Amino acid sequence: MISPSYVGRRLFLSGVAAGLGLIAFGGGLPAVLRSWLESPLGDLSPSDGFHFYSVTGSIPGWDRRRWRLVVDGLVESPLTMGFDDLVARRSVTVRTDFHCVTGWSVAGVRWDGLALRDLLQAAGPKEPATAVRFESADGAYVDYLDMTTARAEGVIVATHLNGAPLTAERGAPARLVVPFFYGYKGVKWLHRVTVVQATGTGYWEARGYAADARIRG
Amino acid sequence: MPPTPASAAEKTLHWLVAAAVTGLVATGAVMYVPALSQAVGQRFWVRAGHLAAAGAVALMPGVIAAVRWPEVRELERSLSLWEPVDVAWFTQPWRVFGSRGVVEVGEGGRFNGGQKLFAALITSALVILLVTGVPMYWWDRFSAELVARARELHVVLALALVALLAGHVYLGLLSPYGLLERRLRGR
Repeated sequence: MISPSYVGRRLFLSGVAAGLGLIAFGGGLPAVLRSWLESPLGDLSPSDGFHFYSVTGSIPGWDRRRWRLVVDGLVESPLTMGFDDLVARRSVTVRTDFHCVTGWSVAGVRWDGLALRDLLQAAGPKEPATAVRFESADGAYVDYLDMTTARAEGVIVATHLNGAPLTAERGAPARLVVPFFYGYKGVKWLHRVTVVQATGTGYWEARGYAADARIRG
Repeated sequence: MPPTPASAAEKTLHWLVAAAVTGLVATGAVMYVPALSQAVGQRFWVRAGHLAAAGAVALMPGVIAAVRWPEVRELERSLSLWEPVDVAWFTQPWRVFGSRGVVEVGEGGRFNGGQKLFAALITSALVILLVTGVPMYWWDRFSAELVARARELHVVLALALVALLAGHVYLGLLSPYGLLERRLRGR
């Protein structure tokens, strides 16, 4: 027989302490718990590891024959490329881990596409260009890279993910991939690449995200 | 002994937190489940709604406690104080889930062992959910590893919370002595 005591307070404090301990010192979830999370709840979590984010209520549709990627702005030769042209010119494979700022990641993702620096080289940026603006097909999502970052190795306009053409959910027909930045910099449903005089404020930066999207180790 | 009626502060706290938690579960599900994410989209507004509901859960208990401290203190005491009959409750939980029997409560006469355990679990879960939400929101101030760890715990606790709430709603509304049943039988 136990005597009356404030067990509830101890349970509450123990629960909070255990949670804080797991965050501060734990090595993540125990394998058993992670396995349980990923298998019985498989229908809740995506099979390829990517969650779906969109800032609008729909995915932009596209037609293979009519879709065009436009490269314009402060360039010597504005470009307009069809999907087949873009696929034919894809020359770069990037293998990287994909990280979302909200904490989920997908390990060992393979992206195939055209190096952004090659695309920019073909268009020929001219003075006083220092940045590049990227716009999604519906115009709702815009982001920027400074010219040095845009020309960095591994920054590509991807058309394929893990060997298959991008699905609509992942940004078809083309999306930006910046492997050293968090995923929100990778504009999906890419439609227009504009070389501009100065960098601007991207969609999420305008809503409180940090200007530096570099993945923190 | 007839059950002691809930105080105004208790009812207010319960229903405000219930509304905010419902909002958290709904917006959290939209952000987590891919099919819902695609159906709804509007990531910014869903995220803003989740944050607003989290803020409400964090602030409302403090506000109500500040305004009606004696009632909130009494509620906390009656939920925290465990008596032998509360421990005995766990030896026969099926009496709560499956029968129309009377459930013994302690001297305080307010809550049984299951309700007291639920209160401790749900409050500690909500605190940890709020804490783990901090690095998920201010991701730029924490390492990617810590954000990932916080998110994993956030997801697991959110799922556990939903399971707890499902039991809570069943017992409070649909069970043999839930609100609906009592209304239907005029009790």
